[in-house]
Amino acid sequence: MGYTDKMKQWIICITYVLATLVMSDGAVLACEVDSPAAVEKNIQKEVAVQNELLEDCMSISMDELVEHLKETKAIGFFTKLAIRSDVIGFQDEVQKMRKKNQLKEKMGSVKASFDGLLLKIMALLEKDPDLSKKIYLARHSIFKSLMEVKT
Amino acid sequence: MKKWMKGILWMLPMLLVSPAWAVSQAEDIATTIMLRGHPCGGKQVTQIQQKEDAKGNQMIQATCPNGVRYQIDVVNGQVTVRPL
Repeated sequence: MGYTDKMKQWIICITYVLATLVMSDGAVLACEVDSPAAVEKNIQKEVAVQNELLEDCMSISMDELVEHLKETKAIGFFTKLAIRSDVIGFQDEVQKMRKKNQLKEKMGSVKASFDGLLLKIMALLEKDPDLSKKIYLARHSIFKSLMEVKT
Repeated sequence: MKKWMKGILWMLPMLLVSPAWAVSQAEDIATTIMLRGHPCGGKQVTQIQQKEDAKGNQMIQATCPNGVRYQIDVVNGQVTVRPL
């Protein structure tokens, strides 16, 4: 059985993260002779790079997720439609706030509303844990794409 | 190895692959009702009546285990639920 493109992507991602972890340890050891402030700065930089890499690995394409949601048999047709309505409703709310220039001040409630929506979807997908996990991992990307300005 | 054992071993992956958890329409409708914040009292509805108009909009009426009958309207992809 050969590796699929997706498996290859994951292997590359995991290798990158592991390599960065190993390299960061080396960097810290090399900086031990320097001042503590420089060491701390170096660590912070490395942690930021690692987080960025992890974030990249976690971001799964939105189209892929939507396709998976359409295909899953864990939830029925009407439930999928209801979720879709909820997502459209959320986007409309964001648009309304943006038009009124209230988005920044109400960002807390927007995020809470998004988290509620996400939890609802994940609870519905209890019979499809793979998709549920993917959605959880891609939550930041989903939030970003929902917050994008509609043209 | 006995034939029946071989048969079971061959069928095992098929049983594992098939989605035994695919939801029924009765479960789907009950979930939709609850998703819209209405009490249903169970995971499946009964007495489902489905109609579709010329524009493709759907209207479903179903009874929840708690005895309440609901109407679900699907208009332009938007789902609304109201008790009858």
